[in-house]
Amino acid sequence: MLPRRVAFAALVIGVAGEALAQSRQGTVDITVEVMSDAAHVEERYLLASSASPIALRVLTRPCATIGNLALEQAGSVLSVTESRAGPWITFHGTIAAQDDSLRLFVRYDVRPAGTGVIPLVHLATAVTGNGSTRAGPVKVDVRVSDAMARVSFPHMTRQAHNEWSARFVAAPSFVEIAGLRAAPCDERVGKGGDNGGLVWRFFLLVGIMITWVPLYLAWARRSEEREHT
Amino acid sequence: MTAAHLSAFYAIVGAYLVLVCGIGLHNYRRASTEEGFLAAGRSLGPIIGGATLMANQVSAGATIGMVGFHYFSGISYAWTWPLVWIGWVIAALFVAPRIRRIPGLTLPDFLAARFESKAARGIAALFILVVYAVMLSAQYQAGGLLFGLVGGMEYSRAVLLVAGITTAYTVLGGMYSNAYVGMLKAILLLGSYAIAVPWLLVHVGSIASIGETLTAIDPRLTGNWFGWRQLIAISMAIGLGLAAAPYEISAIYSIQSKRATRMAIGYSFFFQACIGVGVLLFGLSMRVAMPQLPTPDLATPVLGMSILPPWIGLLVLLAAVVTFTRTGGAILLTVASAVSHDIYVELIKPAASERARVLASRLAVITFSAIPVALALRQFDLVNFIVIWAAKLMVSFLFIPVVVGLNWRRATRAGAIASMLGGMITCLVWSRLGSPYFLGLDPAEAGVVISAALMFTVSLTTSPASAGTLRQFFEDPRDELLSA
Repeated sequence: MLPRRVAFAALVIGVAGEALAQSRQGTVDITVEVMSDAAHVEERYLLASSASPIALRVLTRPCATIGNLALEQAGSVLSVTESRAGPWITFHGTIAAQDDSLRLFVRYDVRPAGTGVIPLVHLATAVTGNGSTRAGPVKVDVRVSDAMARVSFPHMTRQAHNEWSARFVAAPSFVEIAGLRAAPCDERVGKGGDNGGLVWRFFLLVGIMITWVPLYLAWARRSEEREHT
Repeated sequence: MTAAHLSAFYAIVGAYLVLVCGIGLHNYRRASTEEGFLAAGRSLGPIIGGATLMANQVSAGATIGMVGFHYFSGISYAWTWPLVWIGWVIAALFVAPRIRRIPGLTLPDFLAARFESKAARGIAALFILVVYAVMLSAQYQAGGLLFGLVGGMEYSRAVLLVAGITTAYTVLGGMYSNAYVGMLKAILLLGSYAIAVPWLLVHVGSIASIGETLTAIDPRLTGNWFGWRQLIAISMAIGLGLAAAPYEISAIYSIQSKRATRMAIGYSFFFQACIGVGVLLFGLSMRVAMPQLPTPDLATPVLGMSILPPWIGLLVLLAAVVTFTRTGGAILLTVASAVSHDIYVELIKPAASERARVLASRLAVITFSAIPVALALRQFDLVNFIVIWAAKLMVSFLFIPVVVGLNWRRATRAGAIASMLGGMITCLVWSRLGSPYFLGLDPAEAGVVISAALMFTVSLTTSPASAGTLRQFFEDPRDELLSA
């Protein structure tokens, strides 16, 4: 009885049909090799088998360019089509059916500039692991050639002098390398896209909250004084 | 999170436990009377009172559930903060000043006194037991997810650990502990958010950049995922529910004066505003940083464990731990008061000694901590959905009897009972009709409308309360002094 009611509560507020993307079981290994002015990324996917179109996405940044992307299945390169929506690029490929599991290999190059952000291509659906809850299904390793560089986002553990590693429950959309002597970049280039009104909505909300608190406190003080007189 | 950071997490949680148990032990003697245990001896000032009110409201539904909501639905849910505050203003105007005039400790105390009815007390106490068990299960569920992910614990063990922490300090210190841990919760939340939010924005991008990224995923994330109709329905359920929520009423009873209560509500707005903005930015930033989480409820645990630098992350995680254990404590205390005070003392054994009353309260905390564990282990839904569902039932059942009972002399015992039962049944039936907004009304709105209709029609056809009772509630002693 209760689960149905609770599920209905979800319906009532109109989000039951808005569930996040479906998830796939599997593991992902991402290796990022960072040189001073370029990075090479390799991603190995081991997923539950399904013969269907596959979509990979990447969040581009104004100062990072992605090139030479290749999607491989069992050693053969698959053809990939590309579509853009704002800062996101989606790569679509059709994979062949396999018996037990699906192994995919994705590689690409990134030319970071300015802040040292390296966008990571990731599956457009969530990947869920089937082991311990803490050891997430996505493993990311970063190796940098520059001795002064370090991973500043997301949090990763230093394994060796120039190696960082972490496990995540989902793929981060980028890693950021601090101290990278990358080419300078004007981050304003490419900005000015459609933010959907988030900026004015956010500041209107904050403005209402900032105004409300002193107004209420002033009213509370005055009403009390009025009642006493 | 490395083994060292994991050890640090457990060390900090352990230190928190020692601290709250210390607060509990420090207040153990002060909480040796029933009024001390359930209402902190009516001693709280406006700032600690404000932190207590905020700490009751800002539950795991906010620090874990709302972050998840913003993660999958964007900014629009944040409008519920100012809309919910309307409920607080109603509490400040129509509930807090009047309810403090009677010498009660719990909401059923008020219902029994105002409507001269043991039945009203018993029905309200039973309702509180059921609804708060569901709400407490949401706190345990959030805790289970967090400890499960961060500590690599089995979910069921994590739920038991959270239930243990919550029960321990509530048993030890009652409302005194809740009040001081509420202040600690406010400081931790504000402090950790003040550090974590700017750090996130530096790395993830400005508000405009986050907006561009999210708009490209789905324009509703930066616009209106929830329409105004839905937001008003949810806010009404939560806001009006808060105006008559048993744990907020208990907190109002704990504050030292009417003036302090009104000021405390103002301070709680300040705390809520800071937390609301932090929760919003956490959710939006996480959608950019890690867009494919398996479940939105993981946004806060993953943020603390995998995204933020370890020490900032540990602070955010500790703030979340304090949130669900503290709100869990407030709920447990309300449930305990319903069992020990309203059922045991008032209905079964009125001659019970002060010591027996406090012992009954503590036993009730332990006993009723177990029921929500069973619910949490089944993980019915996202944390915030469970909280919203409980709020809808709460507002349908309690809002009209409390607010109308405090402000309309003609409200009667039969009207109150009809209003409570009618409102709750309507909300349940509306929910089962299969269509959101059947006849244009949300289940909570339908519940309140029917509850009000029954209160007015039944009251007008039955005898009013006795003159003595009405004098107690509607005549200010100062008026008598002035007229003398």
